[in-house]
Amino acid sequence: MSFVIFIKRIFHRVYVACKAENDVPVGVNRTWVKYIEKGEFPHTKRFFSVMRCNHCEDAPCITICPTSALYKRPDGIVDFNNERCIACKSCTQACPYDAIYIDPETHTAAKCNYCAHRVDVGLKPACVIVCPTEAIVAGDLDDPISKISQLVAGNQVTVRKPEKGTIPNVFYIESDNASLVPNGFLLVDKESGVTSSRVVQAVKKKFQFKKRVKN
Amino acid sequence: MFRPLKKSFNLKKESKIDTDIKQTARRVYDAPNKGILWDWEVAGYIFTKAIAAGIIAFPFLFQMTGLVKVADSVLFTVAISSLLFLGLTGILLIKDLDQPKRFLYVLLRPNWTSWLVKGGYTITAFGGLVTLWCVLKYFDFPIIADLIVWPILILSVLLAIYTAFLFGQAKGRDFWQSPLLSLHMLLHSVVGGSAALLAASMFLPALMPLVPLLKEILIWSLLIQLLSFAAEFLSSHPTEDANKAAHMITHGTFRTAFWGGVVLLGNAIPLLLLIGKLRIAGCSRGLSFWY
Repeated sequence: MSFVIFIKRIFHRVYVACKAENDVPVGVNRTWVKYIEKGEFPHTKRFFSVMRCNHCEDAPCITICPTSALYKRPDGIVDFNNERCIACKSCTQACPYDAIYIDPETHTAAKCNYCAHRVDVGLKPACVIVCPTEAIVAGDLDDPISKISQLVAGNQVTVRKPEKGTIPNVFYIESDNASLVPNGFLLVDKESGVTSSRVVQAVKKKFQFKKRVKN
Repeated sequence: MFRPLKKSFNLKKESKIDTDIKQTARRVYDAPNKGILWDWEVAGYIFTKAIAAGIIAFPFLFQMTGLVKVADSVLFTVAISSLLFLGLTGILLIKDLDQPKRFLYVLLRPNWTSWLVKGGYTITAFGGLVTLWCVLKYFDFPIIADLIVWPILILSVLLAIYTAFLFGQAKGRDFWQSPLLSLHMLLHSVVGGSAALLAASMFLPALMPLVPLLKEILIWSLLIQLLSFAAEFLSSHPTEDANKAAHMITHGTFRTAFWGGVVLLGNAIPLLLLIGKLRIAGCSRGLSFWY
């Protein structure tokens, strides 16, 4: 099972639908929309990308999980069983996509499981159903006449961190590489709310630029 | 003067602004940072595990190879000390779990591809064999006790380095993919074990026959450790994230802990004190033991 994501059609409601469908607690996410900005004012541009579990063919989270709490279903979905999870957090270190979190209520690892409970009864994942622009297409890549197979075959698609050799199953169309692997980063101290020096420098630079334009 | 974005993104002819835009990508909104997931307990367990493996390996090796005649009381003491550090390792490992009551699942519901399971069994087997050795020695079965010394030595090496393979499985951490990681872990154990024994020799005179050889081992292991740091941090890493992590250690957030704690206090000063054969060697032992 795979996802194809049209970057330029993304709406935030995919994230909301996932939260509602899976009762995801506040502060953690199974899928989320990431913003990237490029350029200096006024020549700036914003890019969006949807992040989630990539349901990798060779999933490092499954390899490292000591109790097989993370496992691959016969249909290819990388699912989890929180009854087996000891919350050693090794899967969070193994995932190159930062897609796994520790649920603050169950104290076990959790992530996007392709809405397996919906797939089991013949429904599509919640994020796919809710999106009005069909930004997310889900389906079986092994089926050559499926919509997803045709999209992957007929478009230039990108995957995140292919160099990791995990063979990810989330494909991005019309994506900007920097939005998938950004050069810049934002680090915010949880307690103080202070941003990293790099961000502060970027903000300062922006103000200097504005001042120069004004003069 | 404002320039329309459409024009600046003309693919046929890339302007300087387009290049700047490409080069200045920054993340402005994202999921909250998950913070440090493996906290001090994991760092602490690496420390106690290194000592548990190193402290027993040298006296047992000296005894078996006949390099130094080691008293039975010394062997017994280091075996008990190793078990104590191993116990601490277990406590820290369990404390790090968010579901500590399920810690036995690692042994009872194992996924054999995981080095966490292989490590768990290594710790269990090592602890079991050392305990058995102590029981056999206590009830005076020296021949059978000697038979299990070599398996203990092999397991102590595995105990020292298995975390490198576990970290290697953590593909989300680029800096841990270093091929030198198992060497670092082994050296960590050699330094930790020899330094702990040298520090203990200040209080246990029975350890004195081991001191000259342990000093040699500590000098060489510190030297190789410093060279391995140089190889790790002076060379370029295969990915940008690994390079960033290396830069954070040597020039960023962790620079004081690295240069001051690890390089200077943990390696360079003890090495100079040992080489200089100064009378205050005890201080160097303490420092090496700590770092």
